[in-house]
Amino acid sequence: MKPWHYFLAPLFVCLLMLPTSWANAENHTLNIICSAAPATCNVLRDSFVSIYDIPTNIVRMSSGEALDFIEKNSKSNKLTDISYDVWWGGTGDTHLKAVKNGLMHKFVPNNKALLGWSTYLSDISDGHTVGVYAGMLGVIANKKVLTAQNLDLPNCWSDLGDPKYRGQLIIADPNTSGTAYTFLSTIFQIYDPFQRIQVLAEIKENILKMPKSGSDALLPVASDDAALSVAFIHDVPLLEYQNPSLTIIIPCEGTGYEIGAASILKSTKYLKQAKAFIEYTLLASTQNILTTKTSLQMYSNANTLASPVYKNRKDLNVINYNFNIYSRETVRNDVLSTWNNLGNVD
Amino acid sequence: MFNYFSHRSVLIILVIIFTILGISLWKINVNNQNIQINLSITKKEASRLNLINNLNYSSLKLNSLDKQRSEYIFLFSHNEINKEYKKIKKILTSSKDKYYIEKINDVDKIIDELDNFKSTMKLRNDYLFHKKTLQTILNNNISTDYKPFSIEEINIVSSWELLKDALNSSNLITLGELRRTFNHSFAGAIGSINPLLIENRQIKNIASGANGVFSTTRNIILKNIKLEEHIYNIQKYSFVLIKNLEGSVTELKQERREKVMPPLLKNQILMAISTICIFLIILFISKLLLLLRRFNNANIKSIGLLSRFNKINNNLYENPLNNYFSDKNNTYNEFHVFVSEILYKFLLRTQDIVLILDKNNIPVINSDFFNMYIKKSSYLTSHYSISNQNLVFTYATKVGEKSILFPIDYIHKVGNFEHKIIFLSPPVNESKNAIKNDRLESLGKISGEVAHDINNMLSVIIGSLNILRESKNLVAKEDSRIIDRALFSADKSISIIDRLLTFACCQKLSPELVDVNDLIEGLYEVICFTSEKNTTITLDLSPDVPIFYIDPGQLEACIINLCINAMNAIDGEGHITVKTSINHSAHCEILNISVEDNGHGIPKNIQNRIFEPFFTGQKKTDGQGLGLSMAYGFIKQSGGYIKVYSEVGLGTTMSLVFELGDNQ
Repeated sequence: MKPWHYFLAPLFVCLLMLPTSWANAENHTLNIICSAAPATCNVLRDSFVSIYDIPTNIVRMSSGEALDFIEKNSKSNKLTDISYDVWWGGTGDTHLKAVKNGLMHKFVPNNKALLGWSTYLSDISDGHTVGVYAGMLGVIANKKVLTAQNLDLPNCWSDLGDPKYRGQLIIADPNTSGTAYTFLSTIFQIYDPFQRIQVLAEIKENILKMPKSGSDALLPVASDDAALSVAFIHDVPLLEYQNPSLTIIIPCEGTGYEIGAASILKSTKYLKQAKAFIEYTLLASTQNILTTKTSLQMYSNANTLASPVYKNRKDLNVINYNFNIYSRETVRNDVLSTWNNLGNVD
Repeated sequence: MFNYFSHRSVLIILVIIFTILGISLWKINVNNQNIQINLSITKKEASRLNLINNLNYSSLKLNSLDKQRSEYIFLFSHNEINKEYKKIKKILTSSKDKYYIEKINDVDKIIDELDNFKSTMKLRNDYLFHKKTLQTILNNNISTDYKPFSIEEINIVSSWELLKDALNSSNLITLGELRRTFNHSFAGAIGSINPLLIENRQIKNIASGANGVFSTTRNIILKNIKLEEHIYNIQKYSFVLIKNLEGSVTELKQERREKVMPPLLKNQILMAISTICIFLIILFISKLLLLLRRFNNANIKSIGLLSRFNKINNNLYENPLNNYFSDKNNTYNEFHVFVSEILYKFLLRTQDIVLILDKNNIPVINSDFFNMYIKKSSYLTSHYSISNQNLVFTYATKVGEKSILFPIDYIHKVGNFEHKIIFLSPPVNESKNAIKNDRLESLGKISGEVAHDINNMLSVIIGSLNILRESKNLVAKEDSRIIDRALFSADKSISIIDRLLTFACCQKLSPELVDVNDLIEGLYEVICFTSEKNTTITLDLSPDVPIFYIDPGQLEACIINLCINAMNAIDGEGHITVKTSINHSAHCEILNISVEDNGHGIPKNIQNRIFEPFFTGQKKTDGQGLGLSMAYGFIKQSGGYIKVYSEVGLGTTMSLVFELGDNQ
C-alpha cells in the first residue's frame, strides 16, 4: 500500500458517518421564515426536502413582519419556543437592519457564480447576508384608464406629480410597504434635498389612496380602477396577462431596485442545515426552477436563466441604490418622516 | 391729586419724584453696564454662526464633488474641501470655547470620512486604469471589420460586445444581467471552438479574462457607491454639526436673553418711572407757567399787593391769588388754589415780607418795618393793633399820641396758624383808593343828609299838591294838568332822592332769603326786553349758589342798572353775560354776581369815579348817573362790594361780591 492509502481508511469512516449525522438532524425540523411569494417558498421547501431529506418548515411573513418577529423573538420573552434558522427572501434593507442589530449569523456562501449585487449585499453586511434575487421598481400604468381620461403615459418619476394625474395614483404606505419605501429612497437618491421635497409633495398630492402593501397598490390599476401605481416590475406580467392594458414604464431618471436576501438567524441550532439550505437556493439549478415556475425576478447566480421581464438591457436604467445608507434606521426614519410630513392623503 | 395734599406734602412729593428720577437714571446706567457685559455672549454667537457658514460652504462644495468623476477634479476638490474642514478644526481647537472643543471629535469624523473618501477614490482610480487597459485589449482583439463566418463565431463576437458593454456598465443590475447573458452565450461558443485556430485561441484567452472585466466593473461601481456613501456621511455629520451649532447658538441667545432681559426690563420700568417723574415735573412747571401767564393776562396787581410800593385795590382783603382763581369758570380752580399757594410761597421769598406775627400777634421778624415810615428816634413808645382790616401803628411823641393806619392786604396763616404773615398796603393817607373811598364816603354822607332833608320837603310838597288836586274848587282842566305835572316832577325827584339815599346807605332795606339764580332768571325777560336786538344776553348761573339773605327788589334794580350800563357800552353787536358763581377763599365762600359785556370799556382815568352820584361817561344818554351809585350803596349796605374790571375796547366786568361766611 502506498502511504497515502493509509489516509483513505479514516476518510472512508468519516464518509460513512456523514449520513448518520444527517440522520440525527432528521429528528429536528429546519424552520425557515420565507418573505418571498408563497409559491416560491413552497417550491423551495419541497425541492430542498426532496434532495436533502431534512424536515423543513416554512412560515410565510412579509419583510416587515419577519423583521419585527425576529427582533421580538430575540428578546428574553420570546414570542414562540420555535427556533427559527433561516430568513429567506424579503427586501435587503430589512435583512441589513437585522444584521446591524446583531440578529444574524455570519455566513459567506461558497458559490462563486454569484452576481455583483448579490455579493455586494454580502460585502456591506460583512458576510451576514447574501442577495438571492433582485427586482426593479417601475411605474405601472393602465393605458385604458389613461386613454379614457385623455392622459398621456408618464415618462419620469417627476411626471407622477403632474396635476393632470390628480387622483390617478396609488402608492402603498411607505411606513408598512417595502416597495413604497424603495420608491421613496429612490427619489431621495435621485433628487437633491430641495428637489426631492417638491417632487414628493407633488406626487403625494396626486395619490388617490395608500394601501398597506405594494401588491394591494397594484390591484386597483389591474382592475381599471386607477391609472398609475408603483411596483416591482416582475410582479406585473401575471397581471398583464389578465389585463393587457397594463404597461411598465422605467422612469427616465433611473429607478431603484430591491435585493431579496437570505440570512441565517443567530439563534439557529442547525447551522449546517441552514447553510445548506441557503447554498441550495443559490444554485443555478434551484433558481432556474424558481424563474421558470414561480417568479420573474433576477436571480443571483450568473448561470441562472435570465428573467423574461429583464431581458431587454435597454430597460435596465437603474441607479446605484445604496442599501447600506437606506437600511440605516436613522435614515429610514428621516425618509419616512419627510414623507409623512408632506401632508395627508384624503 | 394736588387737591388732596397740602402744599407741604406736594413739595415733599416733588422731592421724592426728583429722588426717584435720580435713582432711576442711576440704575439705568448700572443696568446698561450689565447689559454691555452680558452682550459679550453675542461674540460667541457670532463666532458660532460664522462656523456654521463655513460648514455650510464646505457642505455645498461636497455636492459638487459628488458630481465630478474626473480623477484630477476629484483630487483638487477633495483637497479644497479637506482644507476647509481642517480650517474648521483649527478654529475649534484654537478656541477657548468649551463647546467648540467638545465638537472637535465631530469634525475629526468628517475629516476621517474625507480621508476614507480619498482612499476609496484612489482604489477606484486603480480600477478605472485597469478598465482602460481592458478596453484597449478588447478593442485590439476585436476588429471592427471582422466578419464572423459561423454561428459560433457570431456568438463569440456578441460576447465581445457584451464585455465592452459590461465595462461601461454603471450599475450592478445591468452588469449582472450582462454577466448572465455573457455566461450563456459564451458557454455555447466555447464548446464549439476549434482549438487549433489561432484566432479562436485568442478569443478563448479574452473570454477567460472576462472575469476581470466583470470584476473590475463591479469594483468601480461599488467604489462609486462607496464614494457616495462617504459624501453622504460627511454631509450628514456636517448637518448634525451645523444643527448642534445652531442649537448652541439658540442656547446662547436664550442665555443672553436671560441675562440681558431682566436688566432691559428693569430699564424699561425705570424709564417708565423716569418718564412719569419728568411728566409730573413738566406738568407742574407748565401749570406754574400757565398760572403766571394768567396773572399777566388778568393784569392783576396782586403781586404788587405784596409790596407796599404798588397800587392797592381796597376791596382785596384776602389772598389776591385766591380771589383771582375763585372764578368758577376756571376748571383748574382747585389745582390753581394749590399752585397759588406754592407760587405765593415763592413770591414771599422774592417780595418784602412785611410783618410776621406769632399767634399772640407779637412780631417775629421785620418788626422794624414801621421805621420806614417814622424814625424810631422820633417817638417814645409805640404799639400796634389790628382792627377792622387795618393795622394801626400808634406811637407816642412829646406832642401827643399819633397813629398810622395800614390797610391789611392779606393775612397768610402759616405753621398751623401759629404765625401770620401780614401784608400791608401803604398807609391810608398815601393811597389814592383810600382817597376815592373817602370821597365816596363823603359824597354818600352829604348826599344822604341832603337827600334826607329834600325828601322830607318833597313829601310836604307832594302832600300839598295831592290835596290841591283833590280839591273841589279846582275846576279848570288846565289847573289839574299843572298840578299833575308838578306831582310827576315831584315823584321823579323822589325817585332820584331814593337812589341817593340808597347810595348813601340810608335806604331802608327789606332783606329776605333769595334764590339769586331764580331772581336773575326772572329778570332775563326784562333784560332782553330792554336790550337792543343785536345784543345777546346769556345767563351763566352756578348751581352751587346758595339761598342768600338780601333785599330782592334792590338787587333786581342793581342788576338791571348794571345790564343797562353794559348795553349802553355796546356799539353794534355784542353780548352780555350775567353770571353767578361761588368761590372758595381761605376764609370764606364768596358769591359773585357779575355782569360782563364786550363793550367799549371804561377808561382807567374815570374808573375811580364811576360810583360817584351824577357821574356819567355817557354823553348822549339821558341817564342821571345814579345807577352805579345806587348799586354801590346798596351792595355796601348789604355787606358786599363791587369789583370792576374793565379794558378799553374789550369790555367790562362788574362784579357784586358778597362774603357768605367764614369757612373756618
